[in-house]
Amino acid sequence: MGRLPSSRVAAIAVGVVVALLVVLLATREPAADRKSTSQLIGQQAPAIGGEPLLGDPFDIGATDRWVVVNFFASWCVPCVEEHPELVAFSEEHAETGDARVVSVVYSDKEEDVLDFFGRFGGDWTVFDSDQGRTALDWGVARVPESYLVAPTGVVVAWFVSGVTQTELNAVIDRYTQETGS
Amino acid sequence: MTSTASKGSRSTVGWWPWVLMAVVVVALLAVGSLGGDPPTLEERAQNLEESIRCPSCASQSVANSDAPSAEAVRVLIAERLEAGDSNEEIRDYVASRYPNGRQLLLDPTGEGFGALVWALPVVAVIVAVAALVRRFGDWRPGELQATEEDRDLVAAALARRGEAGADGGNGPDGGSGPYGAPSVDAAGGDES
Repeated sequence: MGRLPSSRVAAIAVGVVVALLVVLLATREPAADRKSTSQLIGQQAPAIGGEPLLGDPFDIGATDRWVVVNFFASWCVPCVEEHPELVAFSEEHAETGDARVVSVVYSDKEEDVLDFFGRFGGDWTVFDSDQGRTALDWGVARVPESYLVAPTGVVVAWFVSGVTQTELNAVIDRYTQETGS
Repeated sequence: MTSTASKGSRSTVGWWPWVLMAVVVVALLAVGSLGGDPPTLEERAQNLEESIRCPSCASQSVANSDAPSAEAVRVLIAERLEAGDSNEEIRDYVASRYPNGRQLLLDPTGEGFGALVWALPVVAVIVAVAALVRRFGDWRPGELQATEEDRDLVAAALARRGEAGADGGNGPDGGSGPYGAPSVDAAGGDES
């Protein structure tokens, strides 16, 4: 009879399974190509849940201005480095009233936050961290991260590990040209 | 193999240990998976914290991390459990927040590619059990007692072989196992 020995059958079965796995893995999208981007882009901005430590209460869902939502901590060096850019952006747009900055504290002490703004400037609303819940809703894992929210309430840009006045203005200009608004 | 002759005499008593074993296994699995009180919120929170990776860490679970992002997930889990959300809803929410968020789930979900991780071990166990059943299907230790007659036959056969190839060096104790002559199947199995 032409029956194969069972050891041969087992070897062939294992070979087929391994080959299938190789094909399956080889035809998948490589992990390196998967672009890491915020899930929030194009979505409505989540609410900011914390209480204001500095500045006036502010509802991100009820504004007709561009809003930069900046997650920061006083212990984070890149946050200190980007802060003058945010101050410059805020002052530039304070005159026209078309954009503003709000900050959300990320794992920091209130006194350190007050000291931070006392030293480096900035007169915008600063929300407490709300036990990190706001950061989680926005998908923030590390600071600094900033989100640019259009007047429609939709998140249009995400900046990791620092943002500049130029970058923010470039996105606003491009978006304004594209939508003609 | 010479099992065809013995198949007819297979007694149903031979199946009892298997039936008993199946009953015990099913009963234990049922007790293990269904028995006991439903998990408390604390237990569910603990399980969820162990099944979600801390968003700012490389490979620590939320349960094992003191990072602020892990603390935030713990707060969220507690909040959502209180609100009556299911475990899967909570995991989906966390995954929906972060870039490549599905990678935060340490237990792969039972869908798509991740389903392989759950399915393959089950398939492997079924295949292994089926192979063992097939292999031992013909094995009857009780019916393989060698009689004096068998021993004489073997001795005669070995003697004939010794005459045919005197320089072969096959001692009579070469196959001294209970089955006497080496089986073809066993030789085939040794190849792998």
